[in-house]
Amino acid sequence: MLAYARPLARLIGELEKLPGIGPKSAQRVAYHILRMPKSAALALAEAIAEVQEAVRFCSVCFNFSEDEVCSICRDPRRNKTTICVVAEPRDLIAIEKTGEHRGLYHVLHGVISPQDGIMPEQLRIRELLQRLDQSETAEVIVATNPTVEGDATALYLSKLLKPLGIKVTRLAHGLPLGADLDYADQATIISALQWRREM
Amino acid sequence: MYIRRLCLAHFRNYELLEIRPSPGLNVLVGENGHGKSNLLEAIYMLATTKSFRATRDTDVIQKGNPDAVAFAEVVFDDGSSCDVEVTVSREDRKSARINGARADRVLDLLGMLNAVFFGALDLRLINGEPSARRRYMDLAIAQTSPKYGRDLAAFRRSLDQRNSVLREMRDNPEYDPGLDVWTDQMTTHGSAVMERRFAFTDELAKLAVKAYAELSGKREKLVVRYEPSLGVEPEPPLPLEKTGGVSSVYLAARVCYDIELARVREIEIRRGTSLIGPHRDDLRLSVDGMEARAFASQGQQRTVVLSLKLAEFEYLEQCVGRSPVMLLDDVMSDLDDDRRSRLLQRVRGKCQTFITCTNLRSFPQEVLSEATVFVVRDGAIETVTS
Ligand SMILES: Nc1ncnc2c1ncn2[C@@H]1O[C@H](COP(=O)(O)OP(=O)(O)OP(=O)(O)O)[C@@H](O)[C@H]1O
Ligand SMILES: [Mg+2]
Ligand SMILES: [Zn+2]
Repeated sequence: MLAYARPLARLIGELEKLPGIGPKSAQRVAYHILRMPKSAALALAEAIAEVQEAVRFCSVCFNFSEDEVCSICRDPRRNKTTICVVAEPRDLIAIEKTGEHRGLYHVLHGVISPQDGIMPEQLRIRELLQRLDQSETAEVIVATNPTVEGDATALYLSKLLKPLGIKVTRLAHGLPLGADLDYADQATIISALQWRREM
Repeated sequence: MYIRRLCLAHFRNYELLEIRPSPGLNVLVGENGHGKSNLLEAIYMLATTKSFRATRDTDVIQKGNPDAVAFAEVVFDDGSSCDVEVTVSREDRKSARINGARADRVLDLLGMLNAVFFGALDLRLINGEPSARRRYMDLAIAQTSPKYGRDLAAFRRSLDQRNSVLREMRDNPEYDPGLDVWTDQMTTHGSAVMERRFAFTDELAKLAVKAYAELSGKREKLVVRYEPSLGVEPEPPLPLEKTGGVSSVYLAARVCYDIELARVREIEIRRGTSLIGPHRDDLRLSVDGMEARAFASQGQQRTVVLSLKLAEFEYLEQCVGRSPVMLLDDVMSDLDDDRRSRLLQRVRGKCQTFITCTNLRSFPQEVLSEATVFVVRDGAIETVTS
């Protein structure tokens, strides 16, 4: 084992715990931070501390929010009758960027995966049901990824919601627009074929 | 299709190797442990991304090196060519290059180079557990259908997830964390797997029976039967227009799967595991009405496995419209002279073939005279004669 100075070893150790960062990149990032001007390094440390202090879950949709209720849930122009259910906050961002969904969201914080100990109770499903109970929702769009777990979660939700008289839809998956068939990976082409529609 | 150039770097006992095989018969001769099988393994890995020795991928990396690379220039019947490359690394995930560009997934390599391999371990097809026969079906079908590979992966995932749910329910009888949902996922993907296995074994049975008759000089008869754990017998498939675009074999498998699962539901919960489905399928092999595993002689067993491999070869050829590369590891032992020459007869002039042996005497002179012979010695090719 290389002998790092102890504080450096600690920083590398913490960085390694982050997703997508292996030992090599942790080391690179740590050296970078070490060489940064002190003000920049402190700004980074403060941002990390602040995100923990100031960001919490929106009490309605469970997206990250600075306030008790997030800006989307508070926005009076949003269509209150459709809720788009996503697995992760980053999925919400992706859909929101398109500007096409004018309804509300609900973030589950994961998908059902019994193998990893993630049962329906571990997700924000109970909260979704309570929310539907108290609102005028007519349609729930399930936007989980087309994986085995994403599909199972969507199915679980639709079994739960349909008896309540709510329309449940699922995002279609297919070829990315503007992309060449040539460059699409096989899984995408296969699913586009499966989900083809009549013209 | 054939391999025009093969290069290895730090692969098993090869430091660096570059050879230009002939489009026809290539004989690799050498003493035990000098690297004949390793060379076939590299070609196989370029075709399937996997090793045929049931070990970890990183085992192919030469001792003391960080990674192993296999590269081949593949030439198709129309004269066009394609470069394929696989890198196995101790540090990183396995990766592939197609025409020099890094592929998003290693699996994208499937379908570029097709190969059929036969080796001593393949006798497990007869003597081994049903899992060996499922593996044979799965690899063969996946080579012709990327969709099958994905259905199979999705089936296995939903099976694992469902087993976790069943264990949970066994230990916690009051609790149901969504068994139905996982049952649905498992039957959706599992029925797609069975559908393809039906179609495959149907074709395969015909081809294997023909190959066996040929190799044995029509003296014996082989029967190959797919035995799904559900016990469904496929009806002849209905035209797709009649079933709303869904295959009738799929529907039949699915209906049967659902019924059977409902029947064993309580037992599955009590045992905490999934009891029926493609993960319990088998392939039954018999020679002259007797189960091969229990009754066939050593030479007959070898002939059965060879027939299955030749059938796989023709199946691949039909599906992809070009001849795969044939990899025969040490096939000549155990076969009598007649079977040997019928085997060589069958591959001669038909496709690119690599055969390993320890002794050239197992080959008839007229076959040797048109073959390219590589002498393999301690991780290097010593001489080439053609
Ligand atoms: N990762 C590795 N690094 C270095 N050498 C290896 C590695 N893996 C296997 N070998 C060597 O490769 C040799 C085995 O090669 P191979 O199986 O190709 O032999 P062979 O020529 O087919 O022999 P046989 O006639 O007995 O089948 C062994 O000597 C083994 O030590
Ligand atoms: Mg060998
Ligand atoms: Zn909100």
